[in-house]
Amino acid sequence: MALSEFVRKNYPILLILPALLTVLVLVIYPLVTSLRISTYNWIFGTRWETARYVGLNNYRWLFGGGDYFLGTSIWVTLVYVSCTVLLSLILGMGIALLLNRITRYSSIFMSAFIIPLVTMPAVAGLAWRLYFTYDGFVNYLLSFIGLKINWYSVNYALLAMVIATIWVSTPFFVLVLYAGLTSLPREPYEAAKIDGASRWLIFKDITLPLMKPVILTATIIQTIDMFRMFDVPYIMFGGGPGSSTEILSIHISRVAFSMRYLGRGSCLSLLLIAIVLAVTVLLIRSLVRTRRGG
Amino acid sequence: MIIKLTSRKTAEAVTYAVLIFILFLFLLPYIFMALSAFKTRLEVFAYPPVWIFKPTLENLKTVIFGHNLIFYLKNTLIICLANTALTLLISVPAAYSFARFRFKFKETAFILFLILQLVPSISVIIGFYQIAQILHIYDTCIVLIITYLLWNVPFATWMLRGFFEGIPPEVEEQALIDGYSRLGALARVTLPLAAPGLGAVVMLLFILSWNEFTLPYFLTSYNARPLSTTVMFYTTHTEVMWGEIFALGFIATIPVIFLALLVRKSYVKALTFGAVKG
Repeated sequence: MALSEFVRKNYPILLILPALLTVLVLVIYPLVTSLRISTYNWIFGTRWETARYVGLNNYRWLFGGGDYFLGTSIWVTLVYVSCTVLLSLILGMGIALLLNRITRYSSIFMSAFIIPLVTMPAVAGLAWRLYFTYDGFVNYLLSFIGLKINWYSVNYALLAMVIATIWVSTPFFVLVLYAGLTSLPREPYEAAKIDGASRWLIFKDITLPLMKPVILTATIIQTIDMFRMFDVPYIMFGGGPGSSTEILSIHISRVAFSMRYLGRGSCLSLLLIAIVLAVTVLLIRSLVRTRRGG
Repeated sequence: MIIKLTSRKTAEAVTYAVLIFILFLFLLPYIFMALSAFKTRLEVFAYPPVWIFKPTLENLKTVIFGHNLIFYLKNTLIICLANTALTLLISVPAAYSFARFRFKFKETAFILFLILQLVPSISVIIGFYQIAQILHIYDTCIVLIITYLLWNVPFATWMLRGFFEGIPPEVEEQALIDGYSRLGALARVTLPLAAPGLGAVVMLLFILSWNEFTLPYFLTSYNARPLSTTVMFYTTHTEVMWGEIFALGFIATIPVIFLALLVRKSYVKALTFGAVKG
């Protein structure tokens, strides 16, 4: 009787409990474990029982200058994230505006733009790896404008990685922004037409302000995603040559699995989570502020 | 008037031309990959690239019969299907509860869901590796089926909540009056009405699991290796088997592209996680 009463009263919460518990356990458990592993010296490939407790040594290594590549890695991450997000946003907005101007076949275009998004990351990464070789596909296309670049050099590898990522992330902006554009109200545009406003003015004073929430949300999602990005960059260059493409996620995999220091890798994992969390909070705050302001 | 009309037509023609050109550039890497799957070893590396050639099925044959494709495909299917079923079992009740009931901290719990799944996969991999080793589930399908839930459950819950909210509660109330229990009404009335949305979610979950790279790359070695990481093992110390890689890539992407095109509208919605009402 008491039990069925309890069930009846808390029905809604009991229904979400399995989902909430599943996700909580799957996130909290590895985090707590990582916190614990980060105080051990555990070599990848050996049994957990053989790990040796070292206290805060791994953190001293990380923040005390022992991790030579941390600074480089953070810098590369910032360049990588800002370039990919900014370039694919501009490109995606341009394509979405063009799509919004045509009357027919827009669904065919939309469908085609899905293809880069659902191409297996492993396949996309490897394909781009071949395309960027010296006698590869990209240099072949560039040869028409008289360029031939050594993409596997320290100077150009990051650019190659950005280009490959833009190939995946621009369609995201195209699809999202186009969906936003088609759901805008018609009245302001008709009023502007009667006033004879120029195309640029219409874009600047009507489209952009109306689209602001959509643009901001898409940018936030993409920025967080780029901080977490691992597969395509890892498969393309694996951080090299040198450390020129070593974004934080690749740095973690290098320390934890290539150099086999799982303890140090755990420190770095927690650092990446802290960064992603901080970026998320900052971006969502700015979104809330503009929503209130506008 | 006539001049204006023709100028508008030219403008539209230019827009189409520009769009087709951009689209062509975006699809070129994929088209080139698909073509290369049917090239011989020499043709793959040819410079300038060859566009017209006598297609060969050698690469496809090697991949399918020589490199045990069926085995990896079987692993992928087991993981995708089991994970999708488990995700639905957990997410359908949760989504239904979020859509239909009012309770304390409802929106807080919902946002907690969405924030938790932001965790980077590379950051949880060491923890998963340790537990997999301790429980002796490293390199089994089980470890992947369970760990994928971390991202798939919040995603499915969020998608399904939207679909359930689109169904008026009145249809359920009628079923309740007819003597069905809450869950009975959900199963007999709401779920059939939500079937198109449910189908879309199933396909999207399938795509997510099919393409996942990071977790299987670090949590499996051979026995549970899915298609999505197999392609990495075509690069050895001595050579990279490009023809085979492209052939495998072609085989592995076709079903997913087909599914994504089927659920295009839901796919766009899924991308935004609710940001845009399309």
